[in-house]
Formats: sequence, structure tokens, C-alpha cells
Amino acid sequence: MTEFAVELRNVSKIFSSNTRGKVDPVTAISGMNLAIPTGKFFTLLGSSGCGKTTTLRLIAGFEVPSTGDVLIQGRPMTEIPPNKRPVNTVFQNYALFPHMNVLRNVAFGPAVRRLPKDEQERLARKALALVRLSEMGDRMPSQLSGGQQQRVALARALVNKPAVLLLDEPLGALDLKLRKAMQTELKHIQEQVGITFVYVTHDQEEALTMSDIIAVMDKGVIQQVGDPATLYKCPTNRFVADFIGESNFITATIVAIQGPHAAVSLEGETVYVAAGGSGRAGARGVVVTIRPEKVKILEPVKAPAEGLSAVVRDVVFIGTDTRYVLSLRDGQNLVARVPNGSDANWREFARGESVKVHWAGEDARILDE
Amino acid sequence: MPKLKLPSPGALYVGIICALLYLPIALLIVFSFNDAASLTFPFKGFTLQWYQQLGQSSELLASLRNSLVIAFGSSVLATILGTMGAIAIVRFNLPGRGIFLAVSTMPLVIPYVILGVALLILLNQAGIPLSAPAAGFAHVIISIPYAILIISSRLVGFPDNLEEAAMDLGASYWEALLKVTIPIVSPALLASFLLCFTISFDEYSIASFLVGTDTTLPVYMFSQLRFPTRLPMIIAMAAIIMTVTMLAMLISEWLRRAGQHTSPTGGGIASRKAKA
Amino acid sequence: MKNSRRFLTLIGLPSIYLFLLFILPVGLMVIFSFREGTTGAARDSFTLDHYITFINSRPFQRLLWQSAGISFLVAVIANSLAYPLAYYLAFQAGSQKNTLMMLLIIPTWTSYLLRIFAWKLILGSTGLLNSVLLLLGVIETLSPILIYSRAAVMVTLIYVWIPFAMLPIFSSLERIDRYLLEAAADLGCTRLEAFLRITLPLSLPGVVAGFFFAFIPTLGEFVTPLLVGGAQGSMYGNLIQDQFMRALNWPMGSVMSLSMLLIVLVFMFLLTRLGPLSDLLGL
Repeated sequence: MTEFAVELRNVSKIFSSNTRGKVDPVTAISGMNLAIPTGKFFTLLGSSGCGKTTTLRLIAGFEVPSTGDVLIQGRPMTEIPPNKRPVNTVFQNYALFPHMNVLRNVAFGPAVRRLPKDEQERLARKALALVRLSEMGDRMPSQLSGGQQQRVALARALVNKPAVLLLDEPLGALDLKLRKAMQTELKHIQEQVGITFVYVTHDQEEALTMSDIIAVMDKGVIQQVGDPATLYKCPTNRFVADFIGESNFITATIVAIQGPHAAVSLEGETVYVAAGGSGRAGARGVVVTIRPEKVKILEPVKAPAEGLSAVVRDVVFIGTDTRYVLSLRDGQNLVARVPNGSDANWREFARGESVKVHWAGEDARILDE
Repeated sequence: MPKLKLPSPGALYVGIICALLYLPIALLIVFSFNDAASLTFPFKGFTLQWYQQLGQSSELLASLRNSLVIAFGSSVLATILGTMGAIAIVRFNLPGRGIFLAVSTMPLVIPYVILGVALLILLNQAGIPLSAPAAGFAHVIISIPYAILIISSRLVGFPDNLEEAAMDLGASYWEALLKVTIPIVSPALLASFLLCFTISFDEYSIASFLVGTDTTLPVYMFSQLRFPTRLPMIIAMAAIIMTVTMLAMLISEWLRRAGQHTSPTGGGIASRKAKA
Repeated sequence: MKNSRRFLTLIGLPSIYLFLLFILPVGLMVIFSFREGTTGAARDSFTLDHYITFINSRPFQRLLWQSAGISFLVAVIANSLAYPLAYYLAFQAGSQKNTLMMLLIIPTWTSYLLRIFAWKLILGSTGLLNSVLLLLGVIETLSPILIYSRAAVMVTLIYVWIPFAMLPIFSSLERIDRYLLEAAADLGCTRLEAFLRITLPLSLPGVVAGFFFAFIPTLGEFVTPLLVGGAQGSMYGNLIQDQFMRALNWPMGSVMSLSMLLIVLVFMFLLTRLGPLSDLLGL
């Protein structure tokens, strides 16, 4: 078994959209390099139009790369049509064949491979059992709920035991509750069958919940690849920090750097942050990112020496937490999220109150830009 | 040197069929300018005399006028009845909907000769004399299915609570239909009118049983097809009608496309025209 | 109920119209088929004679079956020729789809009678085809070998119906979700397999509708046989027309009309087992 189920080497995809005789080339993907390890749940995460679906279609073979190579299990796929590739797709709209019942939909792959009839049926029933739809074989797709259709689509793709299963926002059409349940189930099925899943979504929470590895995409370029915890804790650029979870971005000046630690100043006040990769002492206008739940708010008298002065602009109670919008001395906004009744020092702050904010140095980072 | 690109088999096939479809029409047009009374090869020479003779044939002009009148009347009536039927079957699901749908689309699947003779019997039993208007009323029957088809497919593209919204704002149900629903389907009303017009204007089979001596254009043309010397003139007439129809259809298609951003359903006149 | 009053008001007028000019005449025709005598007018005694005559008349029945057979063949051939057109337009024509569609539809805006008549100019003894064949030396004298036959009727009608058969096939092909074809390829189908397993079955409603658009009017045809068919090419529709316009035996004509209607309804019944008529028409 090869180490990587799918590799993209310097892949670009340029569409020429022809509107009224004018040909506009649109770059969907540019110079992408990506290696998806075998047996993992891999997610392409990005907003719509970022090129994630195009990437999936390049792997499936529905699109041909303008430059570069797609390799599946180490074999170049450029000349190989979709029907000969060892991958199967779960389509966004499920694409169940409306004129076939559930069993025949699932048995479609084995039927095309001309397996004996009883073998076709055995495989299809096994796949239906895997998605817990054994009783539904005789139904027509139109008689199923959205969640059931989604599982039929999954069974139909899994029945062929592909090397890679491609899933294009398969949960997008489901309601929230069902989506949560299916997330757990999909992850469970992936672990059970051990097939490499390449999953496309715009929902960061979904990506964090299910994935072993996430690639964040924007404008046809991969921004960062990593496991969910790393992406959340150590986003390397502003897009990733902003896209995954909520983040504050504060512009400041670097005062000093020592190893992984740095001190930055803002209007004469100093706070400690993690250095990131590329900062140097004296650099102005660097961007520091900090998650709202890592920001601590104190009364000015109880605060340590380092920290930033701020005024509370807005207070919103959201159940377990209270969300504060704070205004720093130079007018930049900062959002803090404080668990209600978190410790002995906890108290509520009122709108207009002057406070001091600070954080643990390792929780804030200077971004590479 | 530019590279000679071979057409795909599909494109080639479409080309051949297109050529076959246009060949008979091209022949007709060529003969309408041919300086000979008989429609035989080879061609004799160019003339406009057949076009000049058109204006002098009072019978031809009378039948043309008849055809225009009944085509106009029957298409207006079919569009009105079709609108009522379409609103009823799209907006309501009450007992009677199924049978109404079945009966109103039935003329689509009954050979015209049967409708023609059945109506001939009706006129005979009711003591109504044969006439061009009788054919016009018959044409409403064959046009209603198309009117319902066109208007209902436009109607299903719009949410069914538009009338409720209008009523919520104080309109009565019938005001809501007139002020909201009818304007919304107006492109379909125009399409329906045009299609029903062409159906009636070109219809021969039913009319041949019902018009008596009060001929419509197709009935007159058919009677003239037996007299070879009259043919070039008939063909000249047809060439003019074809040109006018083509222009009308192209304009309406252009109008449809211009108004398409407001329309959720494509449809179009071209894709709806069909004959049963 | 407010709703049912509105519904009845809406369908009232069209229903009355359809009843008076459609149901009633067909009903009268049924009554006429039992009337004694020939013109049928003003006779109140009823008889089964016309049905008996019809059942005993082998020529009548033979012509009916032959006409049904011709209609079936014409419909099948017109649809087979129309299918690739519709397929090309739906899947391959791309941005030229609308233009090509217009191009294929425009000929149908010419007078139906004259389009049929034009085939006389092509197939006739001094027609285009004979003239070309003479020029090429394939035949030595002009003779009416092609005109005035069943074949001439069929060729002409196939020509007339191709665009009409194409439309419903095209719209059913257009409705097919393109992702279904990708899914088929994804699951291992070649293009031919995907066509046979997905595209063809899903376009069947359009083919059925296209079949009817050709079959029904062909069965009722009497104009085309008159123009290009001659005595050899006469069809059942001509027989009905004769009964009403020349022989003036309306009750017999009514029996013949009803027998034709029966054939249509049987065909409809068999084919609409694939789905209700209103579905086929996209209502």
C-alpha cells in the first residue's frame, strides 16, 4: 500500500467561461501540491468558490487539470477516465438514479462490473446494512427522506470498495440535528471500512468534528494543512485564523523577540505573545491574533503590570458565556468571551466600564503575512 | 493556413436533417419566382408575376381574411378558457381536477378527422349552417390543451401564496387574480395566443368538414392544389405568410428572452409548438 | 367552502365549452352509429346493422389495421430519427442550442398543406428526385415510380413529424440531472453504458410523448394520402372522410371513427402504463 492515497502535483485548473463570445479564463486552482495519506479522513475546507469542489472533481476525473498531475495510489491518472479510476463519489445532491429502487441503485457498481447477479445483491445488501438501511431496498429514491437518500448515496459509493471515497458536501441539504448525527456516523463508518475519505465542506465545525487532517483553501490555493487542533491553536495566516473559529486581530508593534516569545506594544502598553515565524524586533503594524475565549478581563486595580487598557462597549449574555466587545486605547475592537462564574475573581462588567485585558503569552500569536 | 475542422458525427447528422427539413420549403420558394405555370423542372426564369396576381384574387383574399378572423377569435377564446383552467388545476386540488385535466387534454390525442366529423354531426343536428366561424369554435377545442400546458407551466414556477398575499393586503380573490396572477403569467398568455393562432391559421382537417363554402385559407389552398395553373400563386402566398410568421416568431422569441430574467420557467414558444 | 366555489367558477366556463363542443359531439357520434339508414338525420330507430357491416367487411378492417401499422411505423421511424437530434441539442450543442432549436422548428411554421405538397414536387414523375436520377443516368425515362404509394405517404409524414417528435424527447433529456451521468461514470460506466442504463430509460416519457405526436395524427391522416398517396396510398382516414363527404353514410362513418378511436385509446392505455398522460406532457 502506498503512503499517499491521492497526490496532486503542481495542479492548476483554468476554466474559460464563454459569455457572449468573450472568453474569460477563470483560475479555479493554481499550482496546488497536496498529499492525502492513505486511510485518513481528509477534509478540504473553504467557502464557496474557493476551488474545493473543483479539486474533488479533478480527483474523480470529471475535470482534467490544465497543468500538473493527479496521482491515485501512486499511479498518474491524467489519461484515465472517471469510470476507470479507483475512486467513488458521494454527490452533493446525492444523484440517486430516480428510475431504480434503492437496492438497484446500490448494486449499480457491481452490475456495471458484470458480477454475477447473486453477488451483486449480496454486496448491495451488505452496503445497505452498513448504513443501516437494510429494510429500504425496495423503496424508490423519491420515497426516502433526505437523510436516507444521503445514506443510500454513501452505500452506493462504498459498495465498490474504492481506494478513495470522495464526498462533496454530502450533509449540506440536511437539517442541523440530522447533520450532527450523520457527522458521527460518517466518521464511524470511515473508521470501520478504513477507506481514505476526501471530504469537501464549507462548515468549519463539521471539518473539526470529523477530520484527521484538514486543508483550508481560499482562492484556489491551500492556506494551511494540519490536524484540527493545530489549525485551531496555531493558524499561520489571517485567513485560517478567521475561517476556523472566531479570532481577534490586533495591529501592534514588536518590542522584543526572544526565542518563541515576543513582546508587542500598543499605545505604550505591552503584552506578551508567541513569536510566530517571521517577526523581528521593531517591526510595526504586525498582526496579533487571539481567540476571544483566551482573553481575560480584570479590574484595573487587580491587573498585573502588562496588559491593555480598554473600555467595555457591549455586553451580551449567551448562556454559559458572556461576550464582551471592548475598545482598546487606539480604537481597535477586541472581543472577549468569558465563562460565567468561572473563578473566584469572576464578576460582571458593565457597559462603559474601564478595564484591563491580558492573556497568557502562548495563546496569542504574531501572524506570518 | 487555417486548419479544416471536421464536424462531429452529431453535428453532421443535425446538418443533414436540417437540409432535409428545408429542402421542400426551398423548392416552394424557388418555384414562387419561376416563370412557368407548371411546377416542373427545369426552371424557366425569374418572375414576380405570381406575387402581383395575389392582390387580384378575391377568393384568396376572402379566405385569408376568414382565416385571420377565426385564428384571432379562437386563440383569444382558447387563451381565456385555458387561463381559467390552468389556474384551477395548478392552484386547487379539489374533486373534479383530475377529470377536468383528463378531458381538457384529451383533444390532444384524438385524430382531427374524428373531431371534424363529430362536430359536423353536431352542427347538423343543431341545425347550424356550416361556416368559417364554426371552424373557429372547433379550433378552440384543439387549442385549449396547449393553452393550459403553456400557462400552467408558467404558473407552477411562482409560489402559490401570492394570491393570499394580495388578499391579505385587502384584495378580493378575483381582484388578486386580475392584479397579481394574470400579470405574472402575461408572457405565457402571449405565448399561448401566438401558438393557438398558428394552430388555427394552419388547420385544414377539421375546417374542411365545417366551413362549407365559407373557406379558410388552408381549405382554399387545398381546393386550388388540383388546378396546376393556380399553384404558383398559392405558393407565392405561402412564401409571404411564412416570412411574416417567421418574423413574428423571431420577435416573440426575442421578447421572451429579453424578459427572461423575470421568468423562472424557460419554456418558450418554439419548444411548445407541437401538433396532435 | 370558499375554495370549492372559486374552483368551480374557474373551471365552469371551460368545462361547459368542452362539454358542448367536445363531449357532446362525440356522444352524438356514438348515437349516430346506431341509427338506421345512411344520412342518419331525423331517424329515431336504432340498429346494430352498421356494426355488423363493419365486422363483416374485411376490406374495412384490413385498411384499419394497415393504417395503424403505417402509423406505428411512421411514429417509430420519426422518433428514431428525432432522438439523435434531441440528444445532440440537449447534450452537445452547448451555446448553439437555442439557435439550432429555432432552425429545426422554423420549417414547421410553413403551411402544413404546402409542406406535404412540396413532396409531390420532390417525388413526382417530373419532380426533383426523378430529374436528378435522370440526369445521373440512373433511370432512363421520367416515370411516377415514387409518388402515389404508401411509401410516399410514409416518407412525407416522417418528414413532417420529425421536429414534433424531437421536442418532447429534447425536453425529457434536458430534465435529466447531469450529475446522474457523472455518478454513472463514477460507478464504472462507459459512455455507452451510461446512455443505456441512465439516459435512455429516463428519456422514455419524452419518447412516448413523441410517439403520440406522430402516431395519432398519422392514424387520422387523409390529406397526405390525397396529395401524395393516390389510390394505392389511401388510408383509413380517407375512408371516414368519404363516408361523410361523398358516400354520405354518416352512421357507417361514425362506426369507423369509433373504431379508430378505440385503437388510439388502446395504444394510449398500453403506453401510459409508463406514467399518466399529464406526466408525459409535463403538466
